[in-house]
Amino acid sequence: MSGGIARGRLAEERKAWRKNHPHGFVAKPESLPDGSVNLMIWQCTIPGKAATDWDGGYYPLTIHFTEDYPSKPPKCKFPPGFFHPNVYPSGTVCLSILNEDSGWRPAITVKQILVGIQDLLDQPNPADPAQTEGYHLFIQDPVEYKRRVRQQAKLYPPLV
Amino acid sequence: MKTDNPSEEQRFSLSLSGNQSCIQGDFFSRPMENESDDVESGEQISESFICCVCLDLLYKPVVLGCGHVSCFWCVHRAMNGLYESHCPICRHPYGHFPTICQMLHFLLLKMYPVAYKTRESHILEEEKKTGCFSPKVDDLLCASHTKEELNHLDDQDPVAYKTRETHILEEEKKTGCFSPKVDDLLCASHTKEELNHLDDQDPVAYKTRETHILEEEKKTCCFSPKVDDLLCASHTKEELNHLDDQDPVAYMTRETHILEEEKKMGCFSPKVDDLLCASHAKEELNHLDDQDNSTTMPKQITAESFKSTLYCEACIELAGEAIRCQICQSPHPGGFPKVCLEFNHFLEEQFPEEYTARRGTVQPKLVQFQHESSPTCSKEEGSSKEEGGFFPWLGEHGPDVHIGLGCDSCGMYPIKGDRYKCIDCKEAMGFDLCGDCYNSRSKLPGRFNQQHTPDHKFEKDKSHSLRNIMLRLLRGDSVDGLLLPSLSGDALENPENELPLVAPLTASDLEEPQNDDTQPTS
Repeated sequence: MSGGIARGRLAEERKAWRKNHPHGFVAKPESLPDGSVNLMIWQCTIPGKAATDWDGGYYPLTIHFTEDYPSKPPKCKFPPGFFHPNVYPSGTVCLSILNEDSGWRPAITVKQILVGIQDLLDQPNPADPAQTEGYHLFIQDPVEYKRRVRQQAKLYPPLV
Repeated sequence: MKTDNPSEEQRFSLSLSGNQSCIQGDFFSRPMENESDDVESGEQISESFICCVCLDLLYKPVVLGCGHVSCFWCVHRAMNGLYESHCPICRHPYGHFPTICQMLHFLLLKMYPVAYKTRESHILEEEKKTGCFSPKVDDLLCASHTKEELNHLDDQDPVAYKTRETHILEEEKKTGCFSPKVDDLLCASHTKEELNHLDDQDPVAYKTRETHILEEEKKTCCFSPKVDDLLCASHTKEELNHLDDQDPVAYMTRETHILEEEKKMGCFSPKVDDLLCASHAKEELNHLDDQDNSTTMPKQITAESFKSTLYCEACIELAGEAIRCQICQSPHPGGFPKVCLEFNHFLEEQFPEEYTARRGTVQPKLVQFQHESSPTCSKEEGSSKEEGGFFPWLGEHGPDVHIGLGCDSCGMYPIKGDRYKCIDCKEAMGFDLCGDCYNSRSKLPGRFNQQHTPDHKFEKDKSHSLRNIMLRLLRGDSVDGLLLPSLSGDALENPENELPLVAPLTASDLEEPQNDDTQPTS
């Protein structure tokens, strides 16, 4: 079946988000220069959790949806080189709920994705590393890891 | 049934530039988006009836074995053409595409006439574009009925009730003669009529719908197995009427309805009462596993047929001792069905008194039924275990999986083993049967409204089986565009197109799903 429901679903997602979303988060479809909106790419901001090393950072995340969404999960990307054991060098987030073969369910909403990634920030999964630097520091040098995380938080100050 | 399964995961892997620049624009873009969508009908749609996949009102709802409800197309799109599929809500594995729950369909139509009809027209447009149609649920009528329906509109209900009986007789006579095609042709005119209803006011629509359902009931006389499902659909409707009425009245009318139904069923097959009990047992067992839920007398019927409509028409492997739909006699595929919580919740809310009353009466029976069916359960468990693993069907059937093709009778998707293709059906969807359904001469209509008739011819087709595709790939032949992407997307389980890292890390990326601690808490 072509003519999927991706856009319809994303429009509903957008509606639901505007009605209610977790504090500090931003999620909006990309605006094109001609004033139209591209529902297939969302620009989001995930706040670091309070009382963690990630606190104070507002991390930009881009969500790329495909026409197969929600049958297939979207791809979530931080800026390239983002420091986190479960983020690939390209910035792509490695998370079970975003993997079609393990945890993805079409019922997962954008809100759940963003909250899931926020959780992942402070609770990396050493069983599934995606970058060497973050992984090795996390395993071998917790002090340096902490420092790097805090340093990165300062890189992404609040936007307002 | 076919699906193209283009896995375009990597399509967006570029385009990361400027991702911060847009964030600031949040406030300015708001006026551009259309907010009027959700107030178009003024109907307040309950959360229970929002499809978790499209986040819209459920349309042609399908209930999976795990009890979760989604739209017909949402479920179909989310199914996996190569492996077993997973519930879009809980990832419960299943291998058969369920049929539409008629009862829930009519319930929704009754509760949200405007929104449901809007959905219908939208989806019909989509379907026209793709050339693949979902089954029509409410237009299995014949021309003479259409006229009569209009008459009924003017009449009062009592008259309608009486005429129903004679209709049933007529229809029975008729069904002896005419070929299945007749109905399909007639459907076209009905579609028109339905569209008219859209323009009409609700009261009128209600009445016509009522008669539609009645006729459907009559219609079903020809296909005796279906009778109960459709009858229940009318009950749903009636129940909803009662909702509008006062409760006392409702109670009384319900009783008479049940009597009517009993009489009606009595005519068709003496078994009906037994069947009702039997299928109750099933439902009751479900309750055991899940919540203690039960239904009132009328609801007992609805809830039960609700279940069976949903689960019945599937499966081959478990035929025999396995759970069968007591209404259509189709065996139930996969594990033991679970209670549909949304529906359970709905009943609890709408009929609190009767529901609790029923709960009391049902409890003692649960114990009895438990032993009776327990062997079935263990059997099911055993068979589902066999199907685990990375390549679920390989052990049992070899690589004889027909990628992206499902059985139009039992719903098995993808078809494992032999596949028979109808050579007379011209629809884009095609009409396919699995080996068992072919051998059992299944008379069920197609899953996608194909105009299939029993006199169509079949041919055994192996061209879409995995084994043959692999052979063709090895020989370097071209393979249909439809199949290649689904192979490359699903078989090469690589979620990430990244540059390789240190070797051990990369290996774990590809194979291991992540631990639970990365799951979101919500």
